[in-house]
Amino acid sequence: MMWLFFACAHDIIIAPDTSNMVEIIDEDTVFNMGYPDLDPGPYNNHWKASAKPQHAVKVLPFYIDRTEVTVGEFVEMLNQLMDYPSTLEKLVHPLMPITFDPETGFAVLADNADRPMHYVSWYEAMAYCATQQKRLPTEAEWEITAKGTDVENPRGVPWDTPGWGCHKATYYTNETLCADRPEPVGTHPDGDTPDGISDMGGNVSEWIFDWYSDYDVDPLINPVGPDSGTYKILRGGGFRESSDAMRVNDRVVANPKSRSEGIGFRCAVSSKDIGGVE
Amino acid sequence: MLWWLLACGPKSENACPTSNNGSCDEMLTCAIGTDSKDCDEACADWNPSDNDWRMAGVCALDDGNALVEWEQKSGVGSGGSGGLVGSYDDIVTVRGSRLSDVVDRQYRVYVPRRYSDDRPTPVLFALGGFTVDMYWLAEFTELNRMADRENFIVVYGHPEWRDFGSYDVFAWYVYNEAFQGEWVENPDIAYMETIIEKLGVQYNIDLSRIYTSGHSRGAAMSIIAAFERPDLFAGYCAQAGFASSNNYNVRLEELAATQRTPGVLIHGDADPDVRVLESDLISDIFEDAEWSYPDDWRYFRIPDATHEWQSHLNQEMWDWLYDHPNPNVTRGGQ
Repeated sequence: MMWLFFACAHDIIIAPDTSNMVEIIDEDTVFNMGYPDLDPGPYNNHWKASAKPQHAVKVLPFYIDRTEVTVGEFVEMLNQLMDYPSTLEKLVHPLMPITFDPETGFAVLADNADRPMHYVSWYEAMAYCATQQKRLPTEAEWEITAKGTDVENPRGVPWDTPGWGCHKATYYTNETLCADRPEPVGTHPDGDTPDGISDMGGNVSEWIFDWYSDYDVDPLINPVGPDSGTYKILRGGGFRESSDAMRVNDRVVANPKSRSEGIGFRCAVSSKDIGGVE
Repeated sequence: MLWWLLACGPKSENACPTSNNGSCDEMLTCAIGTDSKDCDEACADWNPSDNDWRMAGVCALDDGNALVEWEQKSGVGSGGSGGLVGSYDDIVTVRGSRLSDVVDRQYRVYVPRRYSDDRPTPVLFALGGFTVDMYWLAEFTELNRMADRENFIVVYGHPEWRDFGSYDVFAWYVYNEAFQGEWVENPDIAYMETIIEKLGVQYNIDLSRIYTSGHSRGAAMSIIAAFERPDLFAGYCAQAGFASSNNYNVRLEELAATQRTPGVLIHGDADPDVRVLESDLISDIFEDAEWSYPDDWRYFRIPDATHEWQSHLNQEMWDWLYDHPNPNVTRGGQ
């Protein structure tokens, strides 16, 4: 179904722009979500209980942003809502890397325009995506994007070439920080997914749509998580996280109200909502 | 007053021309946040499984109102100012195993970048297990990312380098035969107290929200510290900890009869190093003392988990601890 919108004065009504998005489409794919129940490691350690059990999931076609949403994009949205202070009141926080001038409106704090939006709560991230006629990706959508649609050979990390390092992602190498703040989005093309999606590992952890719950063993179709909960999910790890956090199965629970320099987001949209496959 | 309001027009939350018509029109014909009355009602009945993604965004903005209340919880500030932000190492001079000993001991601090002197900031100690020093703890516990999200200071403790007969090792003082004095005179408690005093001058720390946490032997130490000094510590989190092998369970039974020091127990039932029965025993002590579960303590007994810090529970651990400020602390710094 095509979403149609009719602009009124002051209103920000648009159709989703998919020009900087990638469509993840493989209608017949049922992928294995979560971490496999492998033998314990050398220290008798198991992977985090929250990422198990592995279970079958089918995801309907969707588009996902090629890059994390930038500070510049977020500021552009704020300026489009200048006529609505009560809306801005819910979207702006003093920690955000933005400034405000009564004459010119919101602006990016110096040197942040191409860096991922950070110090953003789940609510603000979700609302931003809504203003673009998009939403946050579901956890299943995020994982299949990072893991790939090749069920027989899922990736352990978002990229498909051997090795780790600061040339592939912005993270903590267990020896040093690759950078002491989030880097401009797409800085490390070597770490892109084969689909050309950047920074799925490192830079900023990304808000996920779903409320957190333990995985179920039952197969699922297009899961969106429980109807309610206490915590949301973060995926992908940030610039201060170690390599574990960049694994495609790693999931972290977070208070949706919390905000950090290391948390950002990207948006997604169902293909059916832009006139694609039903 | 919010800083942009003066410059903006007076449009209200119901500026949508079709507001109050019983239909939520945000992101259909009106901007987000401009049809609040209708959308509030619509959001009350909305669920994620409805697959109505437009409403998902509209309702998220609606729910975001809860932010204000969340960020205004008060604490008891120490009044300090001027400390560094980020990660750094420091040293305190404290007693050793004998009362007459004086030793220099290191610690690592992580101060979130959003730290501000304007608001009392909680402190969480993280103590590693046997042989574990402070250098590895941030990666092992993933507490820095929690500190960034929830705005608290982490202190990664460095045990004393001790002579264990045939070898030297980093180890906490969890056996009271190993030091001179009563349990409350434990050198590690003195170490933590001195760090708190120093942090309180450097930062505006929340004296009512200072917690201990630890893994294995560090968990045992975190329990000892919290129970021996309830005036100092608001609570603890003990991951894969113990109290019986050092006979602290006897002391714990005595203390549990007269004080309810809140805490979180986390233990994997496949732990081959410290059996889960250790945490079962601690939990039983509180139950026998007729504490109220889960208000006075929480116990996560994790199926199949081994001797690991369960970082996926960091948020639940912190939320629970944060909701248990120290009632014994009412006055802060100047």
